[in-house]
Amino acid sequence: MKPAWHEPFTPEALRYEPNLPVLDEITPEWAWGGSTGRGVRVGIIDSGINADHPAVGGMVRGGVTVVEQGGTTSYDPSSYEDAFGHGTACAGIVHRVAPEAELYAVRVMGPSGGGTGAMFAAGLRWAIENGLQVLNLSLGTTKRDWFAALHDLADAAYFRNVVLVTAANNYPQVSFPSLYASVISVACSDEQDPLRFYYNPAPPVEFGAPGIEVPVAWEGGGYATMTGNSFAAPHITGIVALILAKHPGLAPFVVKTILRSTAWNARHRPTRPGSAADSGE
Amino acid sequence: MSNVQGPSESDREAFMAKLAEFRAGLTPPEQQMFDDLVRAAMANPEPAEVTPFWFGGLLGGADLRAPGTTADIWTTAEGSNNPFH
Repeated sequence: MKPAWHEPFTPEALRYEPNLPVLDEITPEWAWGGSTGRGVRVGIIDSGINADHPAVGGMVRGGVTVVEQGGTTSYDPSSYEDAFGHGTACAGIVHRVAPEAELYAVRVMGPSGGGTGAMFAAGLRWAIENGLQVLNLSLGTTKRDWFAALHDLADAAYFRNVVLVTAANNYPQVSFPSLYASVISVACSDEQDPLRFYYNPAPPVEFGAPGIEVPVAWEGGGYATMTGNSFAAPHITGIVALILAKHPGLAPFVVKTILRSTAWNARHRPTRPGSAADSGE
Repeated sequence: MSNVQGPSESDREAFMAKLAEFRAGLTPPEQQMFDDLVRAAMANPEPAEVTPFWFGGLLGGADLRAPGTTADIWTTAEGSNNPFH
């Protein structure tokens, strides 16, 4: 069983669309060549991060836990230990791709494996208002009640140049915020190369990255092989961090254009209809 | 009209013993999947408003590595194999 929304990124369904000639000049080497993500502040909106896990390389610089009590939310900066491993797994992938990016844990899910819409919205707001530049959202909600509030937050992020990278639902259901136009929506591909990703010209899910049986950080300082769109998004988050370290201050729509231009299937088009993709670069 | 009777304490104990016996015969990855099944069955049936988009150990958790195993899976990006670092 593979996660939903991955279908456009299978070899049979992958679409090869020509770049505009000017976009062909945006190469991976230009976009992130030599970059390690140094100094870019990446927020992991999730279950927390185990900062001492070797997979995050000591790059966790801070964080907060969103606490909900009596119908109100508050922030506890004293602890953001991972509640069940998912956040550390995502953070490890970001670190793998962008080893010098700074990681910040925004814990919005608890030991039960989920969270409330209020905690999620509060955590997202905190991240937007506290100077983080890229936010990884390997989570979401199917509750329509949260559509407007999360949409407003996604717009707020967009207007502040905060890039939101969101995982699509693993099931073929509408979920938020992954389907908003202002975010970078990601599903998984069968690919294993962390830097190979695909563009889908038929939204809402626009990018595909490794997410099927990928190695992730796990409990006790170990690793596990896991599957889910959750693990595709942090690959793109890491690449965005690489791009922003090399080209600071880019707006989210510029970042998305760079991703579209550097996607593997935009640069490796078949030489003739029906033939295998050429070598591209 | 039938009279439905729930399992007794001894029924439950016998059932748990059989489950434990079944679990003991599984491989470690299968035990992980089994544990996830039990955990999911006993969890609060009311789904959380916000959830992560993973399959956890249930469908994607095979090949669990032992704690402390820093296998070479990370070397691609951080080592010399990565053409962009």
